[in-house]
Amino acid sequence: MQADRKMDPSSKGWGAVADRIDRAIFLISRMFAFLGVVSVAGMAALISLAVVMRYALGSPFAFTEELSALMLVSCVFLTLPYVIVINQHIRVELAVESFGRTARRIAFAIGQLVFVAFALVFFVNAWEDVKFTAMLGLRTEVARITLLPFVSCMAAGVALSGLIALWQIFRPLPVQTTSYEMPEGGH
Amino acid sequence: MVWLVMGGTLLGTVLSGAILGSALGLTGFVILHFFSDGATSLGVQAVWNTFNKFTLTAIPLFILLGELLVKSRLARDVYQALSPVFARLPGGLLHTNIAVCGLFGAVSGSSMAVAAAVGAVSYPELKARGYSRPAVVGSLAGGGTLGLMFPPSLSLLIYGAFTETSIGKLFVAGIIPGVLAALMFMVWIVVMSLRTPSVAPASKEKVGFYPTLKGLLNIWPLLALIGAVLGSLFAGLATPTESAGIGVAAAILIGYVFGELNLKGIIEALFSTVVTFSVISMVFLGAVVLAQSISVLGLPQQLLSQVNGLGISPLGLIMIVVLLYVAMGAIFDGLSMMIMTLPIVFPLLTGLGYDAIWLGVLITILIEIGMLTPPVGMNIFVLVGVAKGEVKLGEAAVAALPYWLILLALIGLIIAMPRIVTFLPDIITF
Amino acid sequence: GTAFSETVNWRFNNNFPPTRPESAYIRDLAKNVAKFSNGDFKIDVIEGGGMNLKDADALRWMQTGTPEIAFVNVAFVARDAPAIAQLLIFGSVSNLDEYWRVIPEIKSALIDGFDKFNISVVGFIGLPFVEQSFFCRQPVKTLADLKGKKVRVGNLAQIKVFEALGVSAQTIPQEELYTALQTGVVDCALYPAKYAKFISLQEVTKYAVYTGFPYNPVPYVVMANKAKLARLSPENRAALDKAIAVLQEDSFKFEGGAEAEVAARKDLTETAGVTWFDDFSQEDVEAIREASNQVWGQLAEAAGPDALATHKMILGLLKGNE
Ligand code: NA
Ligand code: NA
Repeated sequence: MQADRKMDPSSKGWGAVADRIDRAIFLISRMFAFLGVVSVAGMAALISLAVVMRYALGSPFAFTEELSALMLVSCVFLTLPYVIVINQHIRVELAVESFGRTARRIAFAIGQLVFVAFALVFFVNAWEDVKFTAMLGLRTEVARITLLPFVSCMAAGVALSGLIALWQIFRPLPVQTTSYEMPEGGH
Repeated sequence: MVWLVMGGTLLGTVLSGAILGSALGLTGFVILHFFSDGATSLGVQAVWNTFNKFTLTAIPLFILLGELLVKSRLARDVYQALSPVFARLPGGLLHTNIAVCGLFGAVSGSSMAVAAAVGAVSYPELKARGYSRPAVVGSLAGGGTLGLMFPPSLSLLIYGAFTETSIGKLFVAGIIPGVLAALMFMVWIVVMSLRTPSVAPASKEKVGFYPTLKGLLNIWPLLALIGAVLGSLFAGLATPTESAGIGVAAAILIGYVFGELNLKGIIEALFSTVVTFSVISMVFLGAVVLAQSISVLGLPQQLLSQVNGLGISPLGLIMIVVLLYVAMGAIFDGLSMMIMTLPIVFPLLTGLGYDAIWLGVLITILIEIGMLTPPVGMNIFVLVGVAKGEVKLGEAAVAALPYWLILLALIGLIIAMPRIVTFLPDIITF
Repeated sequence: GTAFSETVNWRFNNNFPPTRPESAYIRDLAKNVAKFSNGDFKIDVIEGGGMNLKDADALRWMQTGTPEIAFVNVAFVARDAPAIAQLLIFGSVSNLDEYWRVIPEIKSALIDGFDKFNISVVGFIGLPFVEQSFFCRQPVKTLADLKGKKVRVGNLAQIKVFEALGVSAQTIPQEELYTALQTGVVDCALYPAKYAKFISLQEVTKYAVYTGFPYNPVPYVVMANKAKLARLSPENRAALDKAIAVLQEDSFKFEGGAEAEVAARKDLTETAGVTWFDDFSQEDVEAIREASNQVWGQLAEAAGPDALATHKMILGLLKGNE
């Protein structure tokens, strides 16, 4: 896999451009993930504060339940692209492990296309949700929290993930990274 | 026909080594498209509803709790202290996984949350001590199943509300089977460690009785955290989900004051949490789309109605139901499986004289079996996520197999001796 | 049927457990449709939420044609259509006289409201008049006793009504209610005696008092996908309408409701030792009604001019014949 990577910059101009795109993807997805981190931190703070509020004043904030659930769903989709970049998602590699280099390359492309197709169908429907939510100005039932930003997170996260997966087809086979460093192209 | 499409698409997509969640999800979309007039939007709706749920916040919060304990270095001290205590017992610290899962099971109503909470602390610590990674993951996936058996339990709550059965009695009924499962898990850990001593390295240093006892004082942060979580629940300050939030606040406080936790550590713990949760979510997401595609077709209910017409003996029928749940458990997450089948299974089996409380516990154990059955075994995914991919899905599934078999044996046991389940609820009144 | 007619298969999504009376009505409906169409039109009822479609999304999934037909309690579609969900709120109606006065107006508002989402209303199921009581851990006899207690209610309107009365109300997920009452996270829950045993409320609360108001009695809407409905043959459509007429006839009979309430209370007392206090006093009932009307107006105003007009019309009907 490493050899694969080193061969890549043979055409220098393309290699440099591709590296730059890799870097941009890494930064954007990491920014998304950071928003996911903020969501989880906010969720934890909100829920513990709500307990204190109920103890002190007899009732928690009316919005705790709905807002923390929305932060949860946002976090899932905001983190999705980053986890694709660092290649941490669960794959079944039993068959692929026995493949030769070319077969592996082809299987990888097919696998990525599976994700791209999934993301595309998902996005098309999520986008309908975005339009529906915006058109009716939908809010949550109890606390009347505006839903549009959260539904948009879902659509944006899936769209970005699909684009990244598509881009990865044209890049060296990814290596699973356990650190939070850029997996490839990061020098 | 739909099973063929499902089998074919799943096989093809999974064999390519695609991201598992996308393979499951795409299969679901294909089924929705061709068998439900293109209603793929139902899949996305189901995903939104699954994650836009307050009670689910307990899962990332419990993962965060564990990560904070690790980052503050307090987890290291805790396992250091516990190590000599378990030195003589084959399996060593693997037993703490079962015990702590049991404790967390008394707080959380979900088995994924239990596996995630304990896994986030225990996996890195046990790995560092040379324990076999698959063995650690297997014991945690198994231990997590105690989450539904000990009260509070999400599956028993839903079962109780659905069937108008006493929730108090259901909760009590789960305890003895839960304890039995925990004991059998520990017996397996002993057997496994005797057969392959390398899975659980013996503690190198010999520690005397008093130093051991003195060292045990170091586990107080863990006890304090469990105290905060359990305490806020039982003192009536917090609901089970909120108690996870209290646990996080307590972990930050204790970690900052008594451990080595700082802002950088907190941010790292948060990052690690969202990545782990995202890995779990991606598979969950795909599984939800797939389950949705099947459930709108009403197939499980049709299948059961047909079985109902065959005139099989009560025992034969219970066997068929067990088989069906085990088979369905491979693909569906437990709660959607229960909701899909209960409208037929409950009147069918209670009509034949089976006890409603007993049936609730039986179905809960069957759900837990599903949590350990690949390709969609949520407890296994949680641990693969917690292990940051250091343990492959296949390895984890194999490591969880003995726990799967133990739960199946437990099913056999409670069918043969229903009193194991009905004894406690019969003597307790509400 | 004729030699050319094809069998039509529909799925009916029913999110209620099979034990509920509503579910029996739906099973009867399916049987009648088959009977009236001579077996040409079959409806498979999927009960207990087996299709995994949430009530809150009803206005969305109904438009996909999966399922072809379903019923929904409109109180649950508040996110997508607040105007439909708040045709009445808790505290608007306290007895059957008031109910029959407003029901024609409510039905026509529902038909219009669903039409805006391109969904056909094919009929209604009478939502039984179920009295809402407070189930508490400690004795609560009056509205004043509720002050200082933590109260679990079901929706935004109820939160606002009780807040207006100086009682701190909150929602807690149904899955957590049992544990929350057991440990004392909340002290009371607003719930009908008739359904208390579904969630084992009698095990965690031993005192109960009736508020004077029923569960929001807006009828359930039986709705069908517009395209699928249009594709039915005239014979099948007639069979459906005939079966719906039977369903409406059966489900809008509210006689026996009062006896059932008495029986439910008696059962809770005798099997679980629940203590029932005298119903809320007339002053308390009036206080709730006043707060409710105020909140109802605010919610209608927030839902838009059409909703406000409908609200004023219904309120007028309620007040008119007093
Ligand atoms: Na539990
Ligand atoms: Na499974």
